[in-house]
Order: sequence, then C-alpha cells, then structure tokens
Amino acid sequence: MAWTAPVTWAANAILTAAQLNTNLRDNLNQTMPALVTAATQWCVSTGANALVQRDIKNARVETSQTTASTTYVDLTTVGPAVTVTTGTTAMVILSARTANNTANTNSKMSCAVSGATTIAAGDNFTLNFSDPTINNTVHFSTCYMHDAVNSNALTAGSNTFTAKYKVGAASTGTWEFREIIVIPFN
Amino acid sequence: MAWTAPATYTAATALTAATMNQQVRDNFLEMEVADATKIGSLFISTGANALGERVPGSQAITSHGSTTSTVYTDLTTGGVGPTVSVTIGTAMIVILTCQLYNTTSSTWARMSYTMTGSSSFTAADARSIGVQKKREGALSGTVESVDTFEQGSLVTMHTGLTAGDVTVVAKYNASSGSAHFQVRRLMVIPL
Repeated sequence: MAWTAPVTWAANAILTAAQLNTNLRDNLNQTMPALVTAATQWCVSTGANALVQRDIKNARVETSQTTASTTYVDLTTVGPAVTVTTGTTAMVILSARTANNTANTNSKMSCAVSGATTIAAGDNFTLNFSDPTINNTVHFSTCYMHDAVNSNALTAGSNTFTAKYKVGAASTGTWEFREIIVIPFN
Repeated sequence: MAWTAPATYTAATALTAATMNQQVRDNFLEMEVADATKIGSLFISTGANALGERVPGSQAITSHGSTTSTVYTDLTTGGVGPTVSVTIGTAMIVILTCQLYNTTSSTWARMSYTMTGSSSFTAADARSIGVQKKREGALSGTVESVDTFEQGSLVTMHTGLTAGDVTVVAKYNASSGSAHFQVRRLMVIPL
C-alpha cells in the first residue's frame, strides 16, 4: 500500500483497525527500514511520498590487458561489469590505469548498458588519454550521469553496465586496475 | 530495539501498550529521522530493516609537496595527509584529487592512501591516482602554476570492510625522480 498523509487524531473519536492499518502499518511499510533488504543499500525517491531501495555497487578487474580495436570491444577479461536495479537515473564512475603505444593516440574506456536499457558505449562518456610520449601512463577516473537531462536516461529495471574499450587510431591501448561504480539515483 | 514488521490490526482486538511500544515507539526509533544526530548525514542499510548514519568526510591541503620515495610515504614537504576519519559500514567510496607531475620523463607521480582502524588498507598502485609524465617549465614558488601540472581524480570503492571507525591518510610515491603534488584532496563517503 502507498503512503497516506498521517491523520490528525481527535479527542473522543473511535480508533479503528482500518485507521491503524492505513496510518501505522501501511505508512511504516513505506519507510526506509521497511524497504532495505541487505547491507549497502540506500533509499531514493520515485515520486512524492514514495521511496525505493537501491544498491550501490562496484566491480574491478585488476589484470593489465590490451586491444588494438578502433571500435568499442571487450578486453580478454570482459568488464568490469555491474548489474543493478535502477530507475531512470544513475551515476557511473569509470577508473583505470591506461596507456597507448603510439604517440598522441587515444586509449578510451567507456560503458555499455544492457538489460532493461540498451545504450552502446560511446565517445561522449569515456575515460580518455593520449600523450606525446609513447607508453606514458595515467590512472584516473571519469564520472557521468544517465538521466533525462543528458538524453541518455535508463529504462527502469535490471540494468547491466559493462566497461568497453578502444583506441583512437591504429595503435595498442593498455588498461589495468579497471573499476566501475554505479550509484542509482532513482 | 530492532525493527518489527508492521502488524495488521483487526477490529475488536485490544490495543495494548506492548503493541504500541513495539509497533510505534520501537519502529520509529529505527527510522533515519531517529538515527540522525549530525549535519550532512546519509543513511545506509547495515542489513535487512536496519540503518546506519554515515557522515562523509573530506580534507584538502593546497600546499606544494614532493617526494623521491619509491614506496608510499608522507611528503617530504607540504604536510602529512590529507587525513579523514569516518565511521563506516561494510563499504566506502574514496575520492583522490590532486595536481601532480614528475621531474623526470616517463616516471610516475602517484597518490594513494592507507586506512587504519576497524578495517585496514595499505597504499597501493591499484588504488592510486597517478601520471607517468614529465613536468614542463621551471619551478617558480611554493604553489606552482596549475598550468604545469596534470590534474584529476580517482574514485574507488571498497566492500567487505569491518564496520567501525577508520582513518584514511593520503600517501605518495615516485617510481624514480622527484614527484610533486599540490591541491591535494581526500574525500571518503562511508556506506
């Protein structure tokens, strides 16, 4: 049952089971302690007076691996990947140590979404590095939102976020200590 | 007292003090509004039907510091840290931000962190912000021009921690040469 605005009690009024069920049972069932089912969850609103619990999740792949693909692909070890239940809005954080064996050529890490939503990895949301010196390496993060404002809103449901990789031109890119964190906001 | 699943009330059943204490008093005491004791808290589950108050922490040190140590250490100049102490559940997000470079080509400047307390973590390359890049231009003062540094952040998440109080301290190293850092920020979001 949904949340009901708490009633104002009046002296000499009869307290009924129906009132207790609506104002106490049903309203308590809309609160955060009633909604959370495991550790490391938080609650976000889905509208006025409505909450839902969401998991904050991450995944890591430590292994150093490479690709020479100029389109987004998996590395030998796919991912990292995280599956979470979301609404339409989530923050994605990508991190990796990255390098390229060719001067001034990009190594890019992006993220594809599958499941309730299908969004391909793309250059508009990447961890991206190039350097005039070959094999110079950096270890950084990038962060972006899936939401209606950015025209990349998710479809509510179970969504899997999988890191994808490519290089900007003929070269070999290297990535290790790869991490993805997904924080659903509704 | 812990949370109890809200009861379904039936007509003509006596409403007892014990019922009100369990269903109203004790359940309300499990809500985030009852748990809130500080400004700026968020509330994260500690298990089914249980919440914990979590307060994010941060510290920034803007001064320029350096090290030639090849193992993670405090900076020789510029001050220890930054340092953040928080109460965690079983997970946390750490955000490292700084401006950094090395004085030698193709050598690393790295910022990581140690954690002590209910859980521990030793500074490591796997969770560090770093550049393998030589600085361009001459040193000019206590706080260098931002144009001579690379700047960015690293965001990383730990899970499987032991709940309790922890202290997180930034640590630094250079693969060789001299690694320089300034505008160093450490943020910890306990979960």
